[in-house]
Amino acid sequence: MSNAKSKVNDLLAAINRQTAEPAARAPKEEPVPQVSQADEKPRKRQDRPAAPSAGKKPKSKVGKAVQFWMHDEDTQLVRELSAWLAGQGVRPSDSMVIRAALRYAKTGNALLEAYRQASKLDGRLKQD
Amino acid sequence: MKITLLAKKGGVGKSTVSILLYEAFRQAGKSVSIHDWDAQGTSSKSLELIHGTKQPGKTDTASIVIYDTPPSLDHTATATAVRSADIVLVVTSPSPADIWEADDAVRFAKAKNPKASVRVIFNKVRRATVLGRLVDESAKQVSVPALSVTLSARECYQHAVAQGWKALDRAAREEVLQLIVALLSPSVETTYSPQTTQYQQA
Repeated sequence: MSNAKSKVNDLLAAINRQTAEPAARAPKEEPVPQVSQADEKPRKRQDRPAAPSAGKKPKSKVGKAVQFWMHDEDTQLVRELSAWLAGQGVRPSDSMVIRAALRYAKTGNALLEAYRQASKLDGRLKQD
Repeated sequence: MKITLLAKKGGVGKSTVSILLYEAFRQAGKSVSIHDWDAQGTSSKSLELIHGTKQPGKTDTASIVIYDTPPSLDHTATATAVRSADIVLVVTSPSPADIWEADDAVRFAKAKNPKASVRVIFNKVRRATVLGRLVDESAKQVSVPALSVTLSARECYQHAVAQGWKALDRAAREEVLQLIVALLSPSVETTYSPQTTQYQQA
């Protein structure tokens, strides 16, 4: 029984090793040799370390413009969400509201129902 | 890491395998989520039954994401899941009809996402039967080597869909964990090399 348990535990440990984060698996950085003040020569401007920034923030990216069709009803929904967000102390753009809504959306029957509602307004799609 | 379960036809056990992988990863202490893109919704129903919610834990930050796809290669969701996968696991059974479809699924995955690692798993294997004994031989029909680990036709796997990890006996747990170890291995351990097969020759 203990052998059986240990086999399962061994397999679980093997999975943990295989799925370890790359950062955790990476070898530790070698310590940088310290140079004494006396040995240190005056460095050129480009050799100097960059000014310390306020923590490492994820690099902000610029998106690309996309075009899609919105009906008045859809714009109204965006306005309502903006209004609610404004009540929470943020002032989002329409793009940010839509991007937030996309992240909030989940697959399932509710999404399918929402899609059907939206498609009823769409003049390009054949209606049932 | 994103793992996409793929099969051209239904009934090979995609949702069952996805639930087994989900439960096994959770046992290993991993944060894992299932994106159930199959309209049948078996995985979602199963999670709801086992854990009381469709997605226990935080889904956005899960380190392992499992995509359960519709049983069709023409579906947009299938293509999207394959494109975003690190590993595509094609699920099949020892039945010749299923194996033919599995090869189509492998070619589809390779075409849609050449960077992904494409693996084949034989599910519902009965070793004491003719088809079960011929699994290694049958695997040669697929254009990528199948995993050395197969999933047996165990009733407890069906129970696991409703009860989770606790429904599995010791042998079943070991089998599922071995599947994951093989799946995550950089190279596929096989005892054969893909070549002409008896079905193709016939």
